[in-house]
Amino acid sequence: MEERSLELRGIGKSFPGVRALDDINFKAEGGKVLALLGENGAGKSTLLKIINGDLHQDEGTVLVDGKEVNFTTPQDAINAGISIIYQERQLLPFMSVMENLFVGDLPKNKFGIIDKGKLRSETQRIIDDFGLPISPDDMVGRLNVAHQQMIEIMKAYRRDSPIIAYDEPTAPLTDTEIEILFKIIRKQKEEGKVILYVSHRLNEIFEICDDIVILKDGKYVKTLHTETTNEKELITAMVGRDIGDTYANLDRNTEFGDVVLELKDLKTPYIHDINITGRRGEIIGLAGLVGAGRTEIARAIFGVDPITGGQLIVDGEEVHFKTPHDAINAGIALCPEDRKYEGLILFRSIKDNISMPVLDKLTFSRFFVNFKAEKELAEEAVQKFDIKTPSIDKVLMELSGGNQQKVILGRWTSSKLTTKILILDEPTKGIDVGTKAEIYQNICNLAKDGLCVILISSELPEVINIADTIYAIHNGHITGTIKREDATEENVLTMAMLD
Amino acid sequence: MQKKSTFKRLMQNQAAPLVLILIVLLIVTMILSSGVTQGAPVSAMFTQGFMSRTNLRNFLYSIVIQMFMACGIGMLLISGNIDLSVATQASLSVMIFAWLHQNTPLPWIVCILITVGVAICMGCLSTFLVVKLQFPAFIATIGMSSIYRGLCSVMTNGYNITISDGPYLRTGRLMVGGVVPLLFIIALAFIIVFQFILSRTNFGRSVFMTGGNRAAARLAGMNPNRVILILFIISSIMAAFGGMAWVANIGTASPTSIIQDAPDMSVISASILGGISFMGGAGNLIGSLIAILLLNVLENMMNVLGINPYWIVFAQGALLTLALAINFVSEQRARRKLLMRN
Ligand SMILES: Nc1ncnc2c1ncn2[C@@H]1O[C@H](COP(=O)(O)OP(=O)(O)OP(=O)(O)O)[C@@H](O)[C@H]1O
Ligand SMILES: [Mg+2]
Repeated sequence: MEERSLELRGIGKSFPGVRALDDINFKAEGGKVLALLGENGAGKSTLLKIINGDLHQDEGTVLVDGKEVNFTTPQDAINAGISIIYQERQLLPFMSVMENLFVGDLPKNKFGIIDKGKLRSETQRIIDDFGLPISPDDMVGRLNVAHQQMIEIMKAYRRDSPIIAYDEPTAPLTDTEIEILFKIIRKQKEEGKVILYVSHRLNEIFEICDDIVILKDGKYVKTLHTETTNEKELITAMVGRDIGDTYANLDRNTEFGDVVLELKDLKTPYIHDINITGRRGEIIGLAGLVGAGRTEIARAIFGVDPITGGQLIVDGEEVHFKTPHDAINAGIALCPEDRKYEGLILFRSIKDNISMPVLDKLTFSRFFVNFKAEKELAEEAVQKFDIKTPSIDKVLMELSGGNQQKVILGRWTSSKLTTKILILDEPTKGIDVGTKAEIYQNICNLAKDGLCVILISSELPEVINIADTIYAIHNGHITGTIKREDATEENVLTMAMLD
Repeated sequence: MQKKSTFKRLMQNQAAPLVLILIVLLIVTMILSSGVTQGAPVSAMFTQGFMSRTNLRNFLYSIVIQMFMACGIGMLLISGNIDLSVATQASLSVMIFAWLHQNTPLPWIVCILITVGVAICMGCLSTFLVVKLQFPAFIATIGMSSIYRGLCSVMTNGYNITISDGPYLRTGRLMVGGVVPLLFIIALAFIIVFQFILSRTNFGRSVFMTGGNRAAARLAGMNPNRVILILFIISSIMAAFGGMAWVANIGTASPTSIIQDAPDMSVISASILGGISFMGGAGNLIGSLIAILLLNVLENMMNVLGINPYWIVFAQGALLTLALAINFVSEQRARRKLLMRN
């Protein structure tokens, strides 16, 4: 088998006001998994987009198997054997799994008509390789986000490209799917493929990667080897300082106030008999697998899903929200899990996105937007979360994924919101390790200010180390409650798998 | 980052190329129509042909209905919706107004108010279909449009209603400075006020946010359904105003003439040409105004050149297709980038 390789020489790329990449050199070889690691906005995604022809570099060359290539579209790159899995899904929600997998390349019979039988059997074969509980005919829009992400991964798997790049593939996945993904990556590695892997989760990098290329502010820092390095060295190389033990160093809130939130036997079509009590200053963690019903609990509290039974009590009074607007007025904020579809307006600026829920508080005579106050609010968020951007007028789609996530956190923690109950659904999705530590401290500070925070996260360590009280959710039911002092990954996971 | 020159920045404004084309077309039309090419003195450019008092007045009158409609259609497009029943709504409003004006002793102002009331009902109806029954706006409003068209003809059995001379016609035909119709100025004021609302108020912001991502706007505490309701109502009222302005100029309400003129199609073209995104979330009304002027000057020029009117329709169609294509390609590029984002 010939040796595969992907080499970058002197790659540079600028955007208006940003030097996204500067003189990047490295080589990825077949049969190895190369990690790209760096803070939010370091240029990882930009680099991958240059490799697959979605963007064109200003300087430098890309070499595939030692030969210079010049792609003008992603299709060129696919034809040349390069597949990229983007973190943001690009599926056709109203099409079936099999149509999504083979889009652009549907098997035809000799009359030129789509060969449904072959389509179905090929798709089934791929699903079997992955071992997922889905069928070729399922409509993709109906699948949960984790399974949708797996479809995205299957698309690249199906093409059997010799060069595969994963950009934060695990952000929407839970352990079950991550395990499957790693099995697939190991197989691809054995087949001698060149694999690039971007993630902010260091444990994954240690598990699956061989070499680690570190980027900082668009520049190449160094290459480390998983065999010989450790977490501390990685973080220092990428953040530029030692951040110490994230959880142990947290300055937590220890005093809880009155009960502000009570769910009594709460029911919606998706959740059953949910009982949760939240006090001022308390952080409540919801742990469970994807699809367990954690997001659905949040949606019920926020007035999105209709409540069909039980009681929702805020500040001692039973409430019936018809819309999220009512919930916001009652002091509840929800930072949604899917930033692209439910959170952000990608074509609008950072400022516009941050001010959304409080716009009516930023007005003259209730009607005219006070641009100055709006600007200050946005700048406050940019500072608080260290959002990397040349200005608050930059449109969201030009920000890196992690920085988009920070914008949405900024929106829901702004000083103009009179929040009593803050629900954070996967708040650190796509956020780099350094910033994560800051966000955890931010969450604790909010609790100190007397907020009741509900934290939903698929990263179990996050939930069990930050939350004061942890509820395990399975199949729309609460299957256990535990205090942080007693919680371990094992016992919480066991509860979350109980029926 | 280097500072861009003022000229460069001006050129990057989406309306800049439109303004340039408009100026060129205007000059060409002024020259061709005034006979300067046949030996008339250059100064005739400003007094004869296109710039003659009658022609200028007629020209401004002819675009008043489009300007009114541009307010409603433009804002609906920005919110990610569309109203294809605007011309038939205008037509029906006109018939109702003319009937009231001719057959009841009500003062003309009251007739206008009643017509506006009917328009509000039409706006609510569109909203009901789009928001409550969740029809795509495109289909819902096409359906309503054929109902309104039918009603127009049924009302008078297809006959026209002539408006008798009186305060209504006299007010509608007032001129400011001898050449500029009062109605034109009113329409202009509406465009400016709505543009102000769009860019400066929190309602305006929610129009953009609704168009940008309806689900996200709702989850951020905005009320997209109410925004859509208000916009459909504005669109219907503007259609009624446009229709009544048209009648003030022509003097006769016909169940078919507005529909045949299809001002709404020109307005949709102009909106897209003027930079309003067909997928919602971006654009402004000043661009639409410039594009309306452009399309109509073009038509005027072709008339002067003696080009077959069918070709004029053809040219306008071609322009719309071109505008849509440009809009679509740049949107697609933006969307694709967006999908690839991480
Ligand atoms: N289309 C664009 N226009 C302008 N700036 C851009 C564009 N795409 C990326 N950038 C900028 O380039 C820089 C690098 O972005 P990139 O998406 O590559 O970061 P990243 O390393 O993938 O970060 P993350 O971990 O947050 O995903 C950022 O500062 C970003 O704002
Ligand atoms: Mg990225």
